[in-house]
Amino acid sequence: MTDAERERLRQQQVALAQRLTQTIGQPADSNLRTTFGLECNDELRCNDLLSNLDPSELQRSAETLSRKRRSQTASLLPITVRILGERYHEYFDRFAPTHFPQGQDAIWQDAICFGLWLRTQTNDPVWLHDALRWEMERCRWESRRWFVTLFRMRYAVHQVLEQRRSEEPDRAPRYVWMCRFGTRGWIRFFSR
Amino acid sequence: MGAAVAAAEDVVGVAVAVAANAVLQSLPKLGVGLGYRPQHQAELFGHRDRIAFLEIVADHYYEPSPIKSAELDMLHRNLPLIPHGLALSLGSAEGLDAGYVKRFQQVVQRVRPPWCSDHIAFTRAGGIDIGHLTPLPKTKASLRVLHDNIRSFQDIVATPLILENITESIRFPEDEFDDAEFLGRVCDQNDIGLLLDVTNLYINSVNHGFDATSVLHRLPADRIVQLHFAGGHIQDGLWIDSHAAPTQPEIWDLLIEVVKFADVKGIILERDEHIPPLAELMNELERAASILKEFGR
Repeated sequence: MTDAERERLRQQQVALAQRLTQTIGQPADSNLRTTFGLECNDELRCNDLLSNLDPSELQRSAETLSRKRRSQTASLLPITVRILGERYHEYFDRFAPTHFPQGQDAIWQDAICFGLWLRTQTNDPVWLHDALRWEMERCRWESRRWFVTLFRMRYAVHQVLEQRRSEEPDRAPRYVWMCRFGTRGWIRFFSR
Repeated sequence: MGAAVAAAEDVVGVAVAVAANAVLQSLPKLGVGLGYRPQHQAELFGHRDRIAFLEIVADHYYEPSPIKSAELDMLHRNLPLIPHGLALSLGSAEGLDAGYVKRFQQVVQRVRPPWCSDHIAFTRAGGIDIGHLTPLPKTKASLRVLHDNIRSFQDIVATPLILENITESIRFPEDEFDDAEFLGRVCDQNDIGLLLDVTNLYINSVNHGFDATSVLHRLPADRIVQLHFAGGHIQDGLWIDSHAAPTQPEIWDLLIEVVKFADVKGIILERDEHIPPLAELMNELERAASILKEFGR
């Protein structure tokens, strides 16, 4: 193999890495070649290196990568994700293109950055932010391979059972959670 | 000149292939084991007699905390462990990350496995960690890059290396070899074993329209050291290697074909999502063990 062949392979790999990570979370475009920058003339030489690839395969690979990140982050922020309910996917897909994690502790950094981003996006009650703060802190420690346990939270957010969205779009969702065990079983409380 | 070099490379490949058999054949037979996930830690010893070995993700034990370190020691004391890397990125044209190889070596040194493994893929390029196994074009250039990186790896890690085939979401039109020829050349030219992921072979065959059995029979049987199997799922008409479901009958059929074809040293069941209680996975382990037994492996 000549140096030129190795260099071409290197450039192709860089181009592929850039394409797969920069397009994460972007909605499927009817014109996939445009979405993946494959129709550009010569603004980037990298485009030439990928121009012979099937755009739908690139799209699927980017989606797989996005799904993987979303699922890893969900496993690190379980309380937050349960509180967000269906909104989690929507939020994560908006967040994903703004940041791509790097390095050995990438999955924890991704979760922490998502948490920081989320704090600027939602007007959920203060106890959601408390849950988020705790889970981000746990991620910080876990990224250093330390495991921390929480003994007490100000709000029982770990017991949130479900989120009920209002039919009216401007109205904040309501949350249902277990609060205490009574003579007739768990008594469920609703957020205001 | 180019043709002469290619011919010389082929001769070296053949010479290495002959010598390799002795090393690979001398590896111990481990049986059927499990890809270790921390969720199973508590239940593990209740099923100790039915789990022959564990495959651990090496990356989870890089610079470990005292808790992870103790976990590794506990596993090592009780079961044979095989370290499986996720991000050696042996297909990277820009070379290996020396720090990553060193951390991998530290895990290998601690558990002293009969072999260790990673993937035929790249995960890093231009300073970007993709976080996902990305396929290589099946070309002479990729073979050469793999060869150089495997040499660099083997300069640091002396334990026999086996490499795994991945699911290929992207196919390259410039491919010079088909799947069987490429995998065979990677193994022969580098004197390494193959970790054949049966599920990945099946998924590639369905998604890219080729016959998995005919590819299997063109692989170098004496280099197939270990198998992976897992259940996938179908999404938008394509198979996804999700490790999220019980193994499908089609994959069991292919696993039987592989065991008939190659004298494998170990089989690992993988499950990464929708992880059930360990007792549920035991049924699959027992079925795999009975297949090994049926064919005298």
